[in-house]
Amino acid sequence: MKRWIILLPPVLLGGFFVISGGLKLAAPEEFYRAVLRYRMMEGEAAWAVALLIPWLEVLAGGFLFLRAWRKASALVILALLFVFEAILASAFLRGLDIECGCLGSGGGTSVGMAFVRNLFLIAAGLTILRTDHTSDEAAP
Amino acid sequence: MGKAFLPWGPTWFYLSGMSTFGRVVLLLALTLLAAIGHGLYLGPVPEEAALDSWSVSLEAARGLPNPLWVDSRPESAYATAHLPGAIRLDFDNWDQALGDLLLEWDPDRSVIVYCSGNGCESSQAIAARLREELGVDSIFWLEGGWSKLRHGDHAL
Repeated sequence: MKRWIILLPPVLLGGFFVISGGLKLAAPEEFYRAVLRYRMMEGEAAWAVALLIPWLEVLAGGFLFLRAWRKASALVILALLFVFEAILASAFLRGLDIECGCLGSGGGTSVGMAFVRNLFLIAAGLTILRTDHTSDEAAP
Repeated sequence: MGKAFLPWGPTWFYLSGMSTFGRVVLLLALTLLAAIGHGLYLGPVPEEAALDSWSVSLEAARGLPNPLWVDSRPESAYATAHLPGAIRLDFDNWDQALGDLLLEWDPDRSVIVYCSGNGCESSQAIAARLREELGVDSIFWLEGGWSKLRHGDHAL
């Protein structure tokens, strides 16, 4: 397969997560409010999540650009996406009419739209795992 | 070590002997360190940011005695349709609309602000500013906003 086709999913997925994490880091209180809107946690737990998730997005997204780290980063991002899908489904089932909070304050994406978008991101993550043949002992 | 995919950076950074599991653990540890550092820098939980405690569901809103409704949607949306008696108030027409609101409002009357619904947050911001300027607590924003008012289970 052509190299640029193999590089497309990690670049798109990594870019998305670096930007989405960066926007959240720029306005941590906004994201804290977004976490609260899901009504699953509050106080210190919500504040901890509001700080952990953006850093995880930025680091895992950024490391997707490095070949040796691609598989590990893709695994972390896929885990994040699967957990988030479950949370979005739970928000939908509980009838929460909220903004997903995925891209900082300016996203304006509903829970349903975020759920569908995540399916594409999951597909990109799985593609990376399938096409990345860097074995554990391989060089970068 | 193949250099084809290593255009830059010191080689130790790539930790070529490390397993994928090791890299995942290291990535999570780096995240934790960064978040702890960030948390120490920002300080304690920003309780004032927890605007959600000021939200009210439509069902709960119906239980409030004679609430005063505030519409924070754009003028065109308000002109098309709005809740009867709702006063349109946003940050652009603040001074004039606040005057209209004060003619109707008394401190015993709850105020409920709504915006268009999915994802809009102007109702939260307007309700927060009203609480600040009027100096009372019973000013809420409506969960789901206008779309809930029009199409919700307890639509008015």
